[in-house]
Amino acid sequence: MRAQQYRAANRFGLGAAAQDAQHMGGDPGGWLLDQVAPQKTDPGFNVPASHQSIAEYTSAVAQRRAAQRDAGGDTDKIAHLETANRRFRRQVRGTTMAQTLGRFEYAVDTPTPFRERLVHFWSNHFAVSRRGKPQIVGSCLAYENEAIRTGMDGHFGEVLVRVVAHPVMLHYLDNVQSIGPDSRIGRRRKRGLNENLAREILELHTVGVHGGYSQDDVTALANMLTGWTVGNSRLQRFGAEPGKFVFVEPMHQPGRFRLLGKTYAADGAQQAQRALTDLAVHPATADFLASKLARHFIADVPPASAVKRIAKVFRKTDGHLPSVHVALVKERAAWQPDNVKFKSPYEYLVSVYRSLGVTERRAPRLVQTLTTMNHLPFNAPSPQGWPDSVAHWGSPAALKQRVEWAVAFGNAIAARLPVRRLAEGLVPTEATGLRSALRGAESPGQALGMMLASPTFQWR
Amino acid sequence: MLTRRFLLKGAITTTFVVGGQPLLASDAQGRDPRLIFVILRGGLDGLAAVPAPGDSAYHRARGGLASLGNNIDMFELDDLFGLHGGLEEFHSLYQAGDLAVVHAVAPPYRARSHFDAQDVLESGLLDPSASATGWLYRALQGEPGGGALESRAMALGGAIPLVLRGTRSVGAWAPDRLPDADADTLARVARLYQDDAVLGPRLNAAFDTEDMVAGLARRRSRDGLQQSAAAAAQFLTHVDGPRIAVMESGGWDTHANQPGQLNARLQRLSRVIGTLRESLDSVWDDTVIVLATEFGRTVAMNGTRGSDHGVGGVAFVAGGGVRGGQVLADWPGLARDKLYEGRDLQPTTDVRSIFKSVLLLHLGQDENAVDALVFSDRRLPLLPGLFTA
Repeated sequence: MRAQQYRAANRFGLGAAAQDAQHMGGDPGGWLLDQVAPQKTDPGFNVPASHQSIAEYTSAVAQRRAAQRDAGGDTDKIAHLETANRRFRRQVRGTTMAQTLGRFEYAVDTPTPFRERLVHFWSNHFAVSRRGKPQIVGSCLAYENEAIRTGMDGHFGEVLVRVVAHPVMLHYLDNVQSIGPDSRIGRRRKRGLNENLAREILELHTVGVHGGYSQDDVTALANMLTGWTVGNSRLQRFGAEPGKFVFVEPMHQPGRFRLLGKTYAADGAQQAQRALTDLAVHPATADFLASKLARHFIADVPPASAVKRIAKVFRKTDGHLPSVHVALVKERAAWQPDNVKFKSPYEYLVSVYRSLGVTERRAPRLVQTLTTMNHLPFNAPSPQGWPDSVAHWGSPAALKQRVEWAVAFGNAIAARLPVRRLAEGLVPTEATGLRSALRGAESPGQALGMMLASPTFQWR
Repeated sequence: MLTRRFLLKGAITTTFVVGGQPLLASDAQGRDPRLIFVILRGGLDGLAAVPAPGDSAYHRARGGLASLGNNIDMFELDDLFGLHGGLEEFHSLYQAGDLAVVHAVAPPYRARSHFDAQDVLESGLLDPSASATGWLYRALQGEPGGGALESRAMALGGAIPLVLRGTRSVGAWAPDRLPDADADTLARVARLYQDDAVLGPRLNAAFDTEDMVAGLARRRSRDGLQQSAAAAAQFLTHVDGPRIAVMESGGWDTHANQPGQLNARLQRLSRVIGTLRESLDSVWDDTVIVLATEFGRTVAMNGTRGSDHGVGGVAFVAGGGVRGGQVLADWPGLARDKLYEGRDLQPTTDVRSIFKSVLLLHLGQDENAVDALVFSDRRLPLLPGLFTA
């Protein structure tokens, strides 16, 4: 594979599939730019709509509670109930496994891997996690498709509003429970604010921690976001549909609020929406997002000049994502030939399957591997999402794990594959040391294991 | 017979120190000090772990969080402070005089971001983004012969946290559930890594630690933190093993329904401390365990039976040489006008004072070097009364 093709397929794409080189031909840059343009079809792995899974979960819990009350001390009924609970848990586990496999295979097969990488990038920027949040276990992938994937051809502000109004995010960062203390419901039930979502919007999603906001700004945004919640049976009288976003005025803190120097008049759900739209085009947001994108596509510590150029495009276009993504492809620093970005475990595994052209069919095996490598999707340890640096992913223990996995996997799968031809095609021409080491391997299985375990394969 | 380590060492040409000759560690009295640093990520609610029911403002200030939860007891520590009932092993250590509580403590950072606060906690510097290296890394690097970091310090759990990050790699260990690869293939792979300046030394370090805890990975525990604790104890009691270990525990960000969640987490943490106490018994007098978090939480309950990000919190220091059985606190009080910005426990102790005291009085490091290289702060005081004698 030629050097420019190799960079396009690895740094921007998800690893070189056999068809990638054919598709890009002599124009790797054009191949990438085509993927940023609107696509005829890119729905993501097909899953039930998020409101369906959330509503199902809620009603299952309600049914279980009712059955528990009903059972009283009856041991037969209790045993029956426990069986039903186990079945429910097994079913949920099966669903998440199937979704993990589906998302993975979608990335392995996609003809537009740069676009897919961008979906993963923004999904990680707006990270949600199943940890400790049973309500959203079945709907995280739907969230990614509904709130992130659909926004790749529009503006950042639209994605932001869609994310913040998404039931999965509202659950994940506790906004469903946040109630204006002076709202009708707040006064009656003596409940109040939960500022979790508001803080992370400022710190993680928009202006960033150096964006110049104070505790008062966090509180103001939290107040404006009260009433942004998710429909359930209790909220039906406010026009809520189960599992869908709803604005509940009687939970909303009345009054106007001042955020980053600008006052937002009381205006129901519009108040927070206007605040979000302003945050999305704030100059600090442009700088923060540009540096994250540059870190992902250029280097762990990207050159300041590149960050500046990307931020400028973001500002000039009010955060038009395709324009920003084009700016990345045009950034010369992103094409440097040295190995600069260490693949995260997920990127690594996708690139292995893509390069070899193999399909994973066993969801439990994939889930176990991703779990062991600490990178099971929608399980990030915090709303910050997964880190993006060799310092995080490349510890001795993690590297050893990966090498051992590669050797075992290569050995197991080699018999089915034309190893010699794959190695010729996948190893960059200039990696002469690796090429000669592979020729000296004692078996195709060993050669394949060595190739997948080699440092060349760990970088993109 | 060739061990795997031998094969790899033959295959890799970088210089590598076998095991840790106790570099600075064992001083003239034959002490061989150990240190375990446990990072509690997410912001532990200090007033839930160590409540202050003796403060006349406690009940009013905490509101719904004044009670720790249904059927959750509180141990009494002194006239002012109690201890969460889930922390049973902590209480035993406290009573044995082997655990000190430091209260109203925080890193020198006030803006309530998890991630910046953790950066300050781990870098030991005032500016969150000032450093890509950790205070513990710099402290170890400054030791005479501080080159062999990979055999001196160990990160448990897979990733290397900032506190141990630097230009060179320390050791790392993670529970491993993948099959071992055959030695010949691994030796060939190791040769491929010879020319990779970043990854080569890391892979080398990984295989060297493998021998030290052979067999441990086979014993499966569902709790990764328990596994890490058991591994840490094995490393620290091994004659050639590292003497410094860092563990991480997450999930302390209790924004909603705090009492039940926190009770389960504290019980789990308590069992981990129990494991460490038991398995480090032979070296307990030489061991110090420090547990710290990035910030405390709001004093008042938030709108969802939890607490939001705050400032002042709590830290714990345990070990045979610690002057335990006391709560060290310049207590600011919980009356509203005493709170930081009217909502958080006012910090009165810089958490780095604990770290500095441990580096100087336990590891025997030089004060000038620590002030200059580790915390860049000549005015950072020690925490008086933490160590016996």
